[in-house]
Amino acid sequence: MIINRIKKLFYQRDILAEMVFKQFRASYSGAMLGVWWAIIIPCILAVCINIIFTTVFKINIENFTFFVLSGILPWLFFSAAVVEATNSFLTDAAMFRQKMLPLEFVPFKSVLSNFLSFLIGIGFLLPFFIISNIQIIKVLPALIFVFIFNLIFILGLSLIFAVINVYSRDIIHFLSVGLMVWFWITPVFYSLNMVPYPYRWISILNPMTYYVTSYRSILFYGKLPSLPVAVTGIVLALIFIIAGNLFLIKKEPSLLKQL
Amino acid sequence: MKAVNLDNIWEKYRIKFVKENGVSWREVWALREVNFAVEQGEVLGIIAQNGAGKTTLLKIIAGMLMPDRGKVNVRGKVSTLMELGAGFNREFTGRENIILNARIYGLSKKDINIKMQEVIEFAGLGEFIDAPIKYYSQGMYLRLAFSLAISLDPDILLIDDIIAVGDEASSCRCIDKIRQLKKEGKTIILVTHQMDMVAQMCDRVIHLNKGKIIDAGSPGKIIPAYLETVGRKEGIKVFEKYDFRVVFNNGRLSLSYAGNPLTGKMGVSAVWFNPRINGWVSSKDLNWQNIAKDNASFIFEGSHQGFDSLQVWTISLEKDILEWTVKFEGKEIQNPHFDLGFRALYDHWVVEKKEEEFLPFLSKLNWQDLGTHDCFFGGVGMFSSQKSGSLPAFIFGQKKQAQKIKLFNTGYHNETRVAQSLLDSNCAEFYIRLFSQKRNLLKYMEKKKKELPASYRFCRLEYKHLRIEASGREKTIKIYYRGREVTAGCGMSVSFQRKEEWYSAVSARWKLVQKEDCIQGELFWPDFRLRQVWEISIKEGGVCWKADIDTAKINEIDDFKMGILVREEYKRYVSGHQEGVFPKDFTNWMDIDLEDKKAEHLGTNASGDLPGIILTNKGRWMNVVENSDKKNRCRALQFRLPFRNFKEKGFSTEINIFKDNLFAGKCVEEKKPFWPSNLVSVSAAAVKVGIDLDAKKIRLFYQGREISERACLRNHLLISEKGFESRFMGWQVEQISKDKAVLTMSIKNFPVVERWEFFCGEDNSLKIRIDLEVGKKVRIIDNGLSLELKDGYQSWFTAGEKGDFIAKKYENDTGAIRMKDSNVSAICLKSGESKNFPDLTFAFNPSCQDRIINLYKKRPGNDYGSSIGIYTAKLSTRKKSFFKPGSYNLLEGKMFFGKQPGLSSFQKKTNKVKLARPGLELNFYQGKGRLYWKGKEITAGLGIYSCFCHFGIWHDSSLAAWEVIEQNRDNLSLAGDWAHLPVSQVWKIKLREDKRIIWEVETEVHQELELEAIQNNLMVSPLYKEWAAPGFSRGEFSEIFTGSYDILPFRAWSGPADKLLVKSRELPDLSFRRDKTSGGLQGLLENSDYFYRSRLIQYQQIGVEKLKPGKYSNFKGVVEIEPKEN
Repeated sequence: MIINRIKKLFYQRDILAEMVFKQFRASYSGAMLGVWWAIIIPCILAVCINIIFTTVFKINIENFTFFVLSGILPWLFFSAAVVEATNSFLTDAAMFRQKMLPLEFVPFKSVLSNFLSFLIGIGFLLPFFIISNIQIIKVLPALIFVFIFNLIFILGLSLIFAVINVYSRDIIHFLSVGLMVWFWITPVFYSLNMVPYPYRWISILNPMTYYVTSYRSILFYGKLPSLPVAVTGIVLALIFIIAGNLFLIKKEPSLLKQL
Repeated sequence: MKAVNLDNIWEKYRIKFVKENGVSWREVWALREVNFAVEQGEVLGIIAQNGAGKTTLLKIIAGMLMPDRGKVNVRGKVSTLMELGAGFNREFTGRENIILNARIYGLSKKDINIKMQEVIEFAGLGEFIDAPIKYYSQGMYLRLAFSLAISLDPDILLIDDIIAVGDEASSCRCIDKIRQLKKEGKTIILVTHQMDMVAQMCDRVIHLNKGKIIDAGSPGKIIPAYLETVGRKEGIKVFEKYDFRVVFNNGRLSLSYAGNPLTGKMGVSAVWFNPRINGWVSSKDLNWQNIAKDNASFIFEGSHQGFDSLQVWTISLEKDILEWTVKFEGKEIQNPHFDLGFRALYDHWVVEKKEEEFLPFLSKLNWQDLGTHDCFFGGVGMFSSQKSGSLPAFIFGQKKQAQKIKLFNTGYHNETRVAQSLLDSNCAEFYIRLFSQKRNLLKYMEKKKKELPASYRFCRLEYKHLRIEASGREKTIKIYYRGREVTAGCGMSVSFQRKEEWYSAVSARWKLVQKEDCIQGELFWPDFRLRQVWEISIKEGGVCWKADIDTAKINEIDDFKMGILVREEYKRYVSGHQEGVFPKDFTNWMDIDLEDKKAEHLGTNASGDLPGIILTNKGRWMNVVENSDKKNRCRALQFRLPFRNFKEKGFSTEINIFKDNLFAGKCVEEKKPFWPSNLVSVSAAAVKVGIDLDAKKIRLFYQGREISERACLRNHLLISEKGFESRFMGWQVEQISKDKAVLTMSIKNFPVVERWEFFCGEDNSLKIRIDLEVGKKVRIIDNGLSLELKDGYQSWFTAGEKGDFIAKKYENDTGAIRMKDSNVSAICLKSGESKNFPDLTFAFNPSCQDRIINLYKKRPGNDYGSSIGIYTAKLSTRKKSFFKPGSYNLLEGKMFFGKQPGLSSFQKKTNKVKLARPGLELNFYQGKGRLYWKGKEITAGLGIYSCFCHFGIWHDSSLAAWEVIEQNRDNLSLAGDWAHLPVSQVWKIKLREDKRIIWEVETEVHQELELEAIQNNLMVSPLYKEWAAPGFSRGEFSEIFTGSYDILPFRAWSGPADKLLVKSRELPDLSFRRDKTSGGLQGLLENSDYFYRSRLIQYQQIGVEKLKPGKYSNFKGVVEIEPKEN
């Protein structure tokens, strides 16, 4: 059954691509700066955090701006994608009134269009990362794997959230606070080893820790992520995508009635 | 192959109910046990009331919902027209949205580029296509969504009530488009509330009710059954007896027999006028419920708070008789009647002796009046002459003896005939009786007629505003003026006294006979063995009353009076020169003392709108004026007749009714004549021509009544731009004999004299000959004869066609009645109901070529009533319009009154000229070219013709005078002179061996003039369904023909093409090409109007500059026939 489903998705990948571009264009249409916002937002945030943490908290990390940027870019992608995808069944229900599409496409296109913004942001800032640490070039190919598994994880997670949200709108309210808490417990502007041990399990239980750490070790340190981190990231991604899909398949008939 | 297969589908919804005491969930089955399959290429309609699960069903087919139970199998790409434009993004432009949505639908980029132009063109957005759609109007938005959805090339199209796509024109186009998809073999599932659309498009219909399929089958079967059940359940009842099925549904009865509906959508319903809301109200507007106490009878009560009216219908159904009684209650009811809308397959009606065919449907929206018919026994019968249908004949009417039934044709889209039965009280009994065959119907009517006792008969005479109704049952003869009764009590009365006892017509036995122009009554008092024979007729302005009385056998008569009883509103009386006022009290039949008891006139009048009345005393009898007793409350104007042995002369009087309420006495004093005095009359049999020298009118009379109106009979002459109307000429009459006269009309200082000869024949005919004596060379540009008649005629026919007198459009109060072929030599007018108008045939010497006859109708003016006109003129070429001094015969015609001489004897020898090739025939006649392929006509309407527009008026070549210049096997030259424009054309037509027809048009202008348009046209058969303008576009013609030429939303295409093509399944393909040298022409494809019902292929030049006198060679066209190879 799952194979059939994947086949169907694969045949209609063109349509998904079209939907992603449409969503991507729609999210920047009417804005004068357009796609530049994909770069501006992480930069502003990085600058703010940099100022606060170097001048107010006096954190002693070398090249702190790039340290924060390497974590905040993936985080921003994650949070924006999850929020948008969670709402997607409700906002884009109209899509199903014209032509029947696989249900997955709706949260997927939200995630993927954010992924595009993310890629643009990274792509623009990559030269600066390289300038700050020339070692990065050597490990750059590994970044692609990080992208893929991070993306798979987010797709799976957002599927679950999007389906739940159709039945109870609580999830979206929870997310407004939850994402903030999640942000603080994810090592974005601190590193994992700065967390004292009794509390470190919180970070270890947090799936995003593995992806952010992976991004950072490649983009900031110029090293491959450690094996445990990489393997955990891959396993988590597969668990979430399978869980998400099973959940959707189970809920599909009644979900359609709700739309 | 099955495109869609639904196998035992069940679908439920959980619905949340929020109430005060908490939230509860309930499961509702939206669909239950739905099974059906749709074959590929089939069009399936789903009809249901709201909430029956139609949309859920469509969503399941589209895959937007998954059924809770059952299996769905859909083969092919599905596109939906459900919530149009739902997938659009408002920030993107129309073009971007098309691309995005088409991509999402799965079209490749290449396909999208191909489709794009089509979508944009169909949506008709112009440059707006590149604007973000948030700036679009709702209509534009919907049009774009529609055209996109439809062009996605789906295999299966699901349509959910989407006809609200902007204005009527664009929704028509959408429907046409859907039709086109149907033709392309797409599978379509259509959900709509518009039954017309379902009926037209669907192959099969499913009736869904509460989630279940309750009926499926052909549209013809399902739709009527569905319509019967739509409505409030309390007001629905189905009656069935064998094959006869009647459904009462909230104030409407629908009838069907053996599954064939007899009634249309209208059904049978009551209609009345409500003066307060100033509009018509139908029984369908009321709220109905069954109030019968037991199950045996069905009594429905309908009420409406807003109308203050209540109705009770009691319905019963026997084997083949449906009976129902209706009671109206309430104040605001005027003109109540019952409308029976029945199917157009019924094409004959029969009433009393008359059996006639329905006129063809001529008008789209109007109710085409087919006349009011008196039914003396039982009603009007309908039957279908078609053998194929198993439609039973039926009779419809009220159960009472005398009634009026009006017939109508209505709407060509949904052709329905209507029989309207007028109620004269608030209570009536109706019935419809079915007969398996026409024969039985006629037999039944014959039987009914015999059953009717003469004493129970009801007779009616009518003329203008005057009406006499004699009822044998009530023993009254009443006079009505403008629908209001003038008389009181028994109306025209007779009374006599014997032994202190009064007897009247009430104690007599009555026998009434309705004659064509009079009512004959026989009154017999058996006790006295007294018999009177009355004859009552109407003439202009009054009533003639003759009675044959024999009192010889009665002994001891003390008093004997005859006269009329009038309403108490009559306050004043007059006898000769004496005027007076009726006493206030009702003096119990006490004579008022009169000075001149034997005065010639006895009259009365009233204030208000009652007419003045004068009775003439023809026998020096005694005038009696009196008040009745208190019970009767009326005034009596009577004559006291000699008591005994009254036989010599009989009794006869004229009761004159005055139009305007002049005081009757004044008229008596002035002795106002009824007819103009200065009238020279020529007469024979019933026909009279009155030459009125005062008014300068030639009036026509039939049986003493004038039938002409307004200008009556007259000639128009336009001599060298100087118009002569007979009323400005000097008139001189010479009466040769009683039946023959000569009228000479002349103009001072002008050497032209018109001479009219009238001759009345004993066979009720009138011969007219008009000669012209010309003293110097003149040019007669226009020469026409017109005859205006009172509006008493219902229909007309010529040798080739027939029609009615409903004018579509009036200009200056004149409305043209359109004729397809006006080049006829005789026309017959038929008076429908009225006995006062004889059928009239106007015929000309058939050898007289180029005479056209036009018909028109005039609205009533201040001084005249509405009228009907016949205009006839001779079309003459320029050459022939010059007259040298001498004597000429302008016209020789004959009118026949009453009896019709078969029109075929006036069939014109037509001077059709022909070119032929095997299989192909081309003939020209009166500016119209017709093409025949293997005996079948390809052209329609006007065929090949040209046209000019000058000051907003179109001048067709069919209204020009034509002459053949040259003719041989291959070539044909024709010259035509336009009657009302200084323009002539020469057409050179060549028929090539390869079946190409070359049509060259050369225009000559004789005087400088401006033309707004010059057109060269080809009207072809409506069997041509597809068109193409190679290199530009192609498509299908709409099937809608407008009622009038003013609005043309059905133009298929226009543009600078030089070849236009039409295709048909039945006829050979045809192309109409123009030579490239004739530049500046616009090619055009459109539907003509409903009258010509054809496709028009046209090349036109608009905004032509001022043309100087001279020759212009302005068009060369090629018509090519491409026979199908088979």
